[in-house]
Amino acid sequence: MIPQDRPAAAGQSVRNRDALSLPVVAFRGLWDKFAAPLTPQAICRSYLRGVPSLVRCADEGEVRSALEFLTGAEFNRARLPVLLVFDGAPSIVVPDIAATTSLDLFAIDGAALFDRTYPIYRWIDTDWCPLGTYIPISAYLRGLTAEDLAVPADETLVVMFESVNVIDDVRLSPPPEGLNDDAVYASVRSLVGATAEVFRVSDLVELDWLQQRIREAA
Amino acid sequence: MSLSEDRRFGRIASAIPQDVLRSILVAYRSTLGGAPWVHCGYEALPSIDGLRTPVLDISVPVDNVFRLGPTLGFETSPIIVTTGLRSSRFAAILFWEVLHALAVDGVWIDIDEATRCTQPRHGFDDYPRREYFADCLTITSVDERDGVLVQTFRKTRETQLAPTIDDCGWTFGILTAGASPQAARMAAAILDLNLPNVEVIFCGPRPAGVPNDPRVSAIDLEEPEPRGWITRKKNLIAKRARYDNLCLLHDRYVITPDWADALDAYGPCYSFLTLPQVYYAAVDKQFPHRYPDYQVLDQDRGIQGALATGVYDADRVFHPDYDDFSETAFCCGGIYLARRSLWNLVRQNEALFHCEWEDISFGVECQRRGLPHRVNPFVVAESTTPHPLLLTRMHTLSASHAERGRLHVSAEQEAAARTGSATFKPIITRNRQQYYESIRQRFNAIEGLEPHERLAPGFATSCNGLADVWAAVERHVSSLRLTTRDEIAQLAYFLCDSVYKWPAPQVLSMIKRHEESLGQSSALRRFTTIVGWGTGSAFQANHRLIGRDLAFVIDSEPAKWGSIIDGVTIRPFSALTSLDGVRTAVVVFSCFYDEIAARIRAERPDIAVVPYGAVVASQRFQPLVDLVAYYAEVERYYPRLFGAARMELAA
Repeated sequence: MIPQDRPAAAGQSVRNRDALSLPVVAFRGLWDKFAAPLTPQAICRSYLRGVPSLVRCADEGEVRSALEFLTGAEFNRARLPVLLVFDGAPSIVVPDIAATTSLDLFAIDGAALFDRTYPIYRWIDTDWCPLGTYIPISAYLRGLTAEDLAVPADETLVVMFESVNVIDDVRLSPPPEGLNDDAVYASVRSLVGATAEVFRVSDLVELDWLQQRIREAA
Repeated sequence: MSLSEDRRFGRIASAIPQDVLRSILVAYRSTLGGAPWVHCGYEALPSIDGLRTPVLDISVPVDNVFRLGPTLGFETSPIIVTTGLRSSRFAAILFWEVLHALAVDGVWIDIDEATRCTQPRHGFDDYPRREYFADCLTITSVDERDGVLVQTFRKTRETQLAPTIDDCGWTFGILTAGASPQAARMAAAILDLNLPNVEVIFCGPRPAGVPNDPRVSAIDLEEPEPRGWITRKKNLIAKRARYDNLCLLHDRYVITPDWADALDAYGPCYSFLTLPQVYYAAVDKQFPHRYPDYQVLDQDRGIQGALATGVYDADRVFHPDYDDFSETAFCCGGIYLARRSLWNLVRQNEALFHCEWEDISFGVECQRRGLPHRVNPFVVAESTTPHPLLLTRMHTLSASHAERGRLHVSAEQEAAARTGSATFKPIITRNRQQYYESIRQRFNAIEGLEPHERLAPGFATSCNGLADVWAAVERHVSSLRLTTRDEIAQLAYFLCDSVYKWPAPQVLSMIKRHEESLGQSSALRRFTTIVGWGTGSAFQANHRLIGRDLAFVIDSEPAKWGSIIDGVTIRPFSALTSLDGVRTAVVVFSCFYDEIAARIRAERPDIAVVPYGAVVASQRFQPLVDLVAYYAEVERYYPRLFGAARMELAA
């Protein structure tokens, strides 16, 4: 599966992990002064630094282009999975993936309303197989229930939830008191149970790292 | 006799009882009788009848420059006994030196407290098990007696440094970007150094004026890289280098003849070194300031995580004394003296670029593998340019005491700045007009700026320094209505291009803090109607900085009612009567906040009242506020800020 960015301490219960220590996925790549958010440069920088990123593709052509970059060793030496995001079902957008692609491929069907959850698929052999749920922050704010899971809890293998930090406009309602990633994670974990792999989708991965380093050094 | 060190290094003596040490040595009597042996350790050796005494008992003080080579030579000693080395902060250096003094096929008997052997710091392996050591050492026995561990190693082959230890040639690799006139001067000086063999490799554009000499060559990246791919450049030079002694440096140093003596004096047995570096604030080498040269990441925990992500807490990075050492010390990237063979064992991480803490990652990775980063103290290198953010303060770490932001400017410099008794160098090489114009042009290149949001050509008309021009920029920024992360990021990038290229995590931290600050300030956000109170100087200076338009402004002076000030209509207190209190806030632009707030609350308790300072403060971009304060301090100690204007030069 997607490699974790930090091994769990010996004996550490999955339930006890705080959100910051979860394996991370970049929301818009690792963007900076030289690589604007969502650009191929930001996506490649993310993979180069060992962090898988969401890769938004409109059609099969963009998927091919993305895979060209990310299947090579130049940017994806660690052979991290590729996380495609479509505005529709992957079976329609990209019904077939070239056999030469040996990376793990996941696809998120982001066609639902902004405050709904999205199904996550994985390319297995010759088909896209649903295996989890992507939870936008707006869906969490609306209120999550078991019905929001794209795959039943006992069949859920993967959940990705958006960090509060993907909210990037100060005009939006300020986060309510107590809204933080730990609260979101606790809610998600309570829905999916202990065995699903949970990933945190962050727009500020390098700041997350800095906060982790500060905490670990203390 | 035994090793010693300055008390300020705080070594806690190891708890190796003398009788245990005696019994260990007796047990090794036959081994120690087989060949001349050397003792290098902190324990005093007991006198034992029938035991061959060491041919040499190293009893010199230990610090960063401790070397065994001048005494023992290279890989010549058949048996070395070490005692209590792990009690010292210099343990990594001691192990390195002993390894290279030990002959191939030699025996190393290491005696130390068992707990120190099994609980090394920083998450690193114990010294003899680090990669560089494990390559040539095989453990042959382990024995524990009363809490004392005795490990015996055999050196099964030469160290990876050995094949090239006699190489006296030097490859100087100079990283260039742009014109680099200083690099040309450096090359000429290098070719004149009294060294047996020398070559100069430029990585980057070959500067004009470089001597036409077969010892000079130039290589470059296949494509330009705007991020500053200095890791790759250094790796390329190391791969290309003809000689095993490497000096990799940036193009801002003055090379003097005594560099050759310093390089020779240290000797050939080293892994990674740097030189102490200074910038002189005034001509004739007056007022030296330490340039980031040798630093330490002052933390015991979390090293592995930092190394894995390449992200470090800059607040834990200090400048230690040059004779001190830590296993998380590292040579800053400006100057490396390295053995090519060892550089190519590790290589810099090419996923990291300029200002991504690539030097910390490299240093810690080297140390983890058993390759210490140290200082060659025999010459001080002059940097022709200062560090832009360390002109007055830096984090320093003495052996006992860490001090963040220590003021490092001398009283003499302060006095000279005040009296004009010294010729100071300009901090900014450009002249004032060029500098101000570069700020304006870069600011106005921010994506998405509306025409009225740009800096006007005369924005700095009343400025003549650094603090005042950046204060002007800060005031202008405070009037902008920044609402999205991408907008705030553009502002941060403007600072990175104009002042200093902060690492990405720090830039994201600036952005996030400002988002949170703006979010707090809009406390005003939930109100649809904002009214001002007071039309004095506080109003005029600040009403545009609160991020909202005012419906009107209240003044108690009847003569002003109905008139307009700065585009806002002045009205009486009674104008609040018709407003929906729940959706209205009054911002008080007056130092009499308490009285005004009390009056409003007495008559309209449903209306929120806010002092202007609280709203304005959160609109301010804190990095700019800090920059203004920094430059205000700089101007106290550096009277000459800018290079000469063309007219001045011509005069």
